[in-house]
Amino acid sequence: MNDRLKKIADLDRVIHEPARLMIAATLYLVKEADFLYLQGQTDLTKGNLSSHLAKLEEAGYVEIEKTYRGKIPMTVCRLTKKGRASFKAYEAALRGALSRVSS
Amino acid sequence: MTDPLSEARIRAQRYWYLDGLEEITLGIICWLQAGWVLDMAPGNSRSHWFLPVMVFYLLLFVAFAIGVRRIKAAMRERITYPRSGYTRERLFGWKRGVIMVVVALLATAGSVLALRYALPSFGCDPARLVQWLPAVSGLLTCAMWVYVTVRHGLPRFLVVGVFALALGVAVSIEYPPRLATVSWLAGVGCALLCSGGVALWNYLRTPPPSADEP
Repeated sequence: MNDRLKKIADLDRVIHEPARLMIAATLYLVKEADFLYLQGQTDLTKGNLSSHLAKLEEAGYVEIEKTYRGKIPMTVCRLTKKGRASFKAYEAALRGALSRVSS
Repeated sequence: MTDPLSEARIRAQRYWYLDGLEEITLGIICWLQAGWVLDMAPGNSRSHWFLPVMVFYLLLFVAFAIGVRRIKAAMRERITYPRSGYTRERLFGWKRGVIMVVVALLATAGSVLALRYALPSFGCDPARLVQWLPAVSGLLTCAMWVYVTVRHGLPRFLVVGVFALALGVAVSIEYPPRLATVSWLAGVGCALLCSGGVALWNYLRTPPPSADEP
């Protein structure tokens, strides 16, 4: 395989999925965000968002805390240190790979 | 054209301007500054009220600086959360904060030195420049709000920016320096409070979505 293209194959597949990439990108920009905010930002359905968050949590990229704001349930999500580092590495790798392919 | 990551960043930043609380905060800061400039008028120093009012303003500034973030966060949790969700801003690292404070201090010191020493040597009268301070502030404010309008697509900032520029030019032409500065700060403060108030009013009229989560 071409070395340039191989860089794309090495991308982190947990983050690479478009829905999870949207979630990770949104969480990367803030300290923490709740389920409703993520839904508004990503336009995913509740079930979809929930399953992708579970996958990110399973990989150790996202920390999920179930709490209450008054009587309203709130699910607060934040990227872990590992998640933040992985997203940063993914962004650099993708940009690098694409620039190599297009040049 | 922006890439998806930059777009996501812009969307996240737009969240902070949706409810108008940022403008309301800036409007209050403008009014506090206007009161401070008014209190510092030369004739006032002979008044018995000068020192207590100055101390009061200093305490108010410190209390506002310390509390504003918490007040905004508390208001957002109560107002914004049921409608568009809850998020907490990522704070700058301390290194970036220190750099920003140092740059701000150097810029202020540089401006003061330029007004005091450099400009008179080129034949420029500092008093004339002080007279045009509101117009310059209006221009900078307008440029900043145009940037926010273009970046976040929120046209109400353009209205405030154009108003700040027009008011700055008008008061610089019509009033003596101190009155011009006070009028500009108070006027822009009013505009920001109105703009923020209208944004908050519209925001509160949108019904909150159901908060049930899987």
